[in-house]
Amino acid sequence: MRFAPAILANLIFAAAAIGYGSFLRPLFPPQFSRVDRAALTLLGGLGLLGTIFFDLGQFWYTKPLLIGILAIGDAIFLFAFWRQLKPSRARIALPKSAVVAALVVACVLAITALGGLVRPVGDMNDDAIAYHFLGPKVWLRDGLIRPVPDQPCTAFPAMIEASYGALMAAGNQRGPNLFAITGFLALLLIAAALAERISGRPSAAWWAAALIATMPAVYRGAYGGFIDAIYAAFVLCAARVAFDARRLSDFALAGLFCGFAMATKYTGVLASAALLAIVLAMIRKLPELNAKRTLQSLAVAGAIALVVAGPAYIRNWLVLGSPIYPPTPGLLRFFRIKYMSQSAVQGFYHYIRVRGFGMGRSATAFLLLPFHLTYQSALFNGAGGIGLAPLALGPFGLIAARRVLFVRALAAFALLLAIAWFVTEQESRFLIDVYAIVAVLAAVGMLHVARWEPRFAPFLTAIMLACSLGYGLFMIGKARADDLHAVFSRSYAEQRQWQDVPYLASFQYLNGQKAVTKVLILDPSIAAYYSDKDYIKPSGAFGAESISDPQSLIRSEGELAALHISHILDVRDGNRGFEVPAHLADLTLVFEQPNQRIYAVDDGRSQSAVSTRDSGHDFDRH
Amino acid sequence: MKLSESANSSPGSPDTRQSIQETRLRRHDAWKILWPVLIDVWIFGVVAAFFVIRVVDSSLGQRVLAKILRGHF
Repeated sequence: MRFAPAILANLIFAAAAIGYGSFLRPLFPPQFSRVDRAALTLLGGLGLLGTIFFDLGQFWYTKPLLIGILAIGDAIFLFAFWRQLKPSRARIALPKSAVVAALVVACVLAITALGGLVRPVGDMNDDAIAYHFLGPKVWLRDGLIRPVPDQPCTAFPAMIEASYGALMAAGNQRGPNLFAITGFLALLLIAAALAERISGRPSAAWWAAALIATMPAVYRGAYGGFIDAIYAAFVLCAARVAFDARRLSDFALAGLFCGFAMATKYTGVLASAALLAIVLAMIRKLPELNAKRTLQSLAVAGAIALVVAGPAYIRNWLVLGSPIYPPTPGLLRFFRIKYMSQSAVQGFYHYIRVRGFGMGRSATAFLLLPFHLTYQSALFNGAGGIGLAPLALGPFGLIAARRVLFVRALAAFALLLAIAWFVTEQESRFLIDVYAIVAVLAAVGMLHVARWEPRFAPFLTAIMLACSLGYGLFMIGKARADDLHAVFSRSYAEQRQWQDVPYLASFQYLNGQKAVTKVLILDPSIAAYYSDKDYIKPSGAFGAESISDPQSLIRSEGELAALHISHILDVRDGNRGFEVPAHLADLTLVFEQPNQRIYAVDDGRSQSAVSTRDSGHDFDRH
Repeated sequence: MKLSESANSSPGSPDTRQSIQETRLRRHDAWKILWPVLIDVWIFGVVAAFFVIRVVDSSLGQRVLAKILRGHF
């Protein structure tokens, strides 16, 4: 029963996404396959739904509104889409040669679904806790989407995070975790669609899906709140449509997906620019494309992309002072921003440069990238790499389909994305779009290699696949072992919660007391995600400061009262001691545990006695 | 031989065309033999490199390698 709300919320959400996505079906090119249509419907719906949530959320972001939007999508799904589904059309083609691939995909999806049922745990080093889930939780509480001042990353484009809020509203805190299954499935679908487009064979589609599903680096970007996999799916959708685009509606659809990508991650801007460059280069190669008309179509596509993604960037400009926040060092010269000093912004980008240094940025490092990504994935925070198939079979796929313009465009697009990644931040999961493309080429290569060299190649390919898929499955299983254990064992889930949630006892106390209305969190390393109550965190992540001098705040009763702060959470860790001085007037110690103290601000509403025991609040209710 | 042949035959003559065609055929045949070998070697190399790197990267592999390099083996 503890999983039911999350499961139900995700079913409602997925159905609503398909419902909204069905609006896009008239735009689909007639030659598109069923897999193409399924991928574009799901991803288009996810994009539309996220855009609606984000845009409306700038004015209202309340539980009834979010559930209402989902209900409308479900009604569309039930009345318009479901009736069109006939059993024969819904059948999935599964050739005998792809049974193993299908089993592998099913296995990874099952792990994802089960692992997604856990309640989020972790500290500020976990991006989901630090901002992917923090933002939606705060926005739901405030009834409005606004960047959280103490966490600059909540100002990133937040189309998917806006959807996480809807999943929290319709279900609970487990809801966004389970969303991984929808996002991952969407990525596999569009990759399968690309493989089928290139090879014309369903088996290639299945194998492409299996190769991607067992890439630990891809998988890392698909679960636990990460949005990299679904971002890559939007980019691939845009490429799928753009490289076969002939009509205005095709370009419009490509522009829509570029907009979704840009509304999901900043890097979507670079990906869209790369896509535009490739399409412009294609005009010369395709005599049937009228240059003037194509340029007009591209202008329409660009306008659509801007309409979809623009609100995220305009909102940042209006609210925080820069369309990209934190601004890049170049932009910092033109924009004056809130909450972060110049040195804090520079520190933020220094952190990114250091973390994303990878193997360096020399030409040799770039040429050796295929080998480094295959064998030395740890250098890119690669979580287990991408398997052997892209390196072993990808080149043969490219050679086999080298005369197909679509494949050339796709390969050139992957190259441009890889260059952009190489010069910015070499974090493995930021390259998922390229991994998916090389996996598709590997799946195509697999078919041709067996034809070109029928004696030993099938045997060698089988061994390579066994190693690659086996290693990938092992790494994925290892990464999710704790999650799966927590799903099946309540006691382990409880133990893990105490182990992985910093200062859990304090949060249990704060969340369980009615008198707590607003908490002052003094230590920047505390994960405010766990607070169900409104809070202020003067010093946040990456040097963000929502209040300039927190010490004066503690000492001034007037300021605390003006901010309606009822309680102060003070903690001590290895680096710093307690911040609240002992015996400070107007503050009463109401809760104490090792390294954690809670004070009530005396204004006639404070607690009567110090509690040193757990409050008994059922933290597991989420 | 080739020089004298090419000197005796004009560029568009049937002899030259035949010679070019034969060269192409020989290259094609050589490529037909080489290409499957290249495929096998490439795939085998990728898999072998995976195991070598896994072994070398492992703590046992590192210990053995360190001993070899110090000449203790």
